[in-house]
Amino acid sequence: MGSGGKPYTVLIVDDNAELLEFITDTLHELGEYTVVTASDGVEALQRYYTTQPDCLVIDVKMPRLDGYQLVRALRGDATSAQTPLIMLSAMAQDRDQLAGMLAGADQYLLKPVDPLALVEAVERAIRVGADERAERLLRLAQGGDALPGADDARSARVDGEGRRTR
Amino acid sequence: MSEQAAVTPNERTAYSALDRERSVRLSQLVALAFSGFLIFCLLWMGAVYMLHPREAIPAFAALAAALAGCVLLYGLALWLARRRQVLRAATTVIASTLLAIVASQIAWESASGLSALVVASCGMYIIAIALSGVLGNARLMFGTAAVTSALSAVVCLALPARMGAMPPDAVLAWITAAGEQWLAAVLTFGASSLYEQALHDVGALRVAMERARQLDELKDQFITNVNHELRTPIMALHGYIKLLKLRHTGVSDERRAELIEKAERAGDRVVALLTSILDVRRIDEQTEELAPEVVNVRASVEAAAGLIDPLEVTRSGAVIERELRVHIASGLVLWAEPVRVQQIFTNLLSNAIKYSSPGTAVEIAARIVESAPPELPADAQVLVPFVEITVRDYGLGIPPHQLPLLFHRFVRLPRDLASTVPGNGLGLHLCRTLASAMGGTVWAESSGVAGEGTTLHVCLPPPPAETMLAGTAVNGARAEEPA
Repeated sequence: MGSGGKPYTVLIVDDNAELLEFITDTLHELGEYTVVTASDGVEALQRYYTTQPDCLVIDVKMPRLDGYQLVRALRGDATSAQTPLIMLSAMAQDRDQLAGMLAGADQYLLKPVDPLALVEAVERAIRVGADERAERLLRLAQGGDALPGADDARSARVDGEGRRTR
Repeated sequence: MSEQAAVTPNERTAYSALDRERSVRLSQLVALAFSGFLIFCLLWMGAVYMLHPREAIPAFAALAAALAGCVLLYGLALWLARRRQVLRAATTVIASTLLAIVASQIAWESASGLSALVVASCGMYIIAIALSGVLGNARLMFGTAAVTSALSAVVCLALPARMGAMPPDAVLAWITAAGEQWLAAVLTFGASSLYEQALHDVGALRVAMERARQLDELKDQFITNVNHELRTPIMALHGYIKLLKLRHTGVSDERRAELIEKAERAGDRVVALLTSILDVRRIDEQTEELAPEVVNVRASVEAAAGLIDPLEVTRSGAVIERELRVHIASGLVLWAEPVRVQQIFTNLLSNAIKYSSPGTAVEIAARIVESAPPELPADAQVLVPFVEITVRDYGLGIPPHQLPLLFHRFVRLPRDLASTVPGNGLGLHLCRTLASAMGGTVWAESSGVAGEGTTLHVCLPPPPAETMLAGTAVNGARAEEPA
């Protein structure tokens, strides 16, 4: 539940209707979310500004604007720079994951993903919250290694570099 | 099948390209080296003349002119080699070499008669024979050997006889020289044919390597494709089952049934993809086992259309039905395996719908055409009747240079790989394999202009004359089958 008992809004972006349906079902069955969907990057940007979601789940291969471009566009805008972004892709190579992290995603999940793991990732991404994200970056900038969880540390580090190079 | 056929002509060209390239380079090298040597000789002769003008032999002026002519001939050979006229360049090099040798011999002989030096220099003709073996073919080489024997005869027999100073062993000298030359010709022939064999092997190796590379590329593309196509339905199938397990008791009966149905649909997609992959393997292996019979074209097309969902949902959510225009005479029949023909039609129709926007029409027509049978070469003047079925859509079309890609196994157009249209790159390959197994062909036609669409042609043989009479009953029965 979001602040004030209102369910969190999750925007799912995928060009495959079957997957949109499946992720929607998963989020409805295993949690309580308001789910919004978009079938490509451009539609996702439009939906983002009308619905102000708390988290996005983004596919990589999409027409018009792909996942990496969408993540970069969202990170580049002050209103969406702190929004949790999860990438979900069939592209399983290390460099694909790295590209996702460098673009500014918080997590990179591989298809096929377990429904529970997906909901956990969404929950964790939302709960990290804006303050903690900023704090993590600050600690990273000061050279602190004491970050919670290896995965988080990796994403934050890559994430931080991605931001400096931009 | 089609991939292999596309590679075969390369085998011959790979070998001959290697051989031509080698011959051209060698001709250039020999022409440069020999003309360099002749220029050196000319300079040396000039220097001798400058130092001792009195002792100069008059015939040597003619020799100098002949040698200068040889240098020009080598220049001509270089030019021919540059223009890739391999055999002419080789012939010019050899002619020039022969001219240089015979001119030197005649000049020397006119000064001092048939000396031992002149007879020994008949051995120099072996250079020309070896060159012809290395640069040209067997005909050029044995031709050169014949010419050198004749030139040796001129030098050893004709000239001394004319000068009235025929030594007693002149005939023996000629026989020895000619014998040496023919021996050299045979040895060179043996060596060069062994070398040619090696070149053939290298050419074959190169073709095999190219094939392996192409196969590797296809394999990579296939893995990428299948990876992408399989992950989505498997994720849905696996995910729905997990969801059902997790929310076993927490959902209503209705919702549970809905989730089960979605899992089933995803499962069907996985099965369909795997079946189509296995189908290609099976059909590639055992196309000869098809049993043709009389098939009614219209009935088969209608049955195929019945398998395809004509309703589509547009982006705005509206449901649109496709217009399927069928122009097929109801009595038109062809000679093929009914299941496979229907498979071809299903593939072509679903392609037409997949690659054109909702609401646009799809046209199917069939007619009898006269065409050359596919098993004969294209220039054969034999025409036999075929039933041609065309499936036309009004979609994006296909760039003409990408048309041949369509029928390769596991290959999808670059545009489709980047798009959301599902596909595994097998449909049209299957169509072509099936059609050719039944004695027919499939090809595509498109201007590449969006909106003008693509037309796919299938040509299949009509029933043989004798079955036409006996088969009318079969025919009628088929036409009545529910579409």
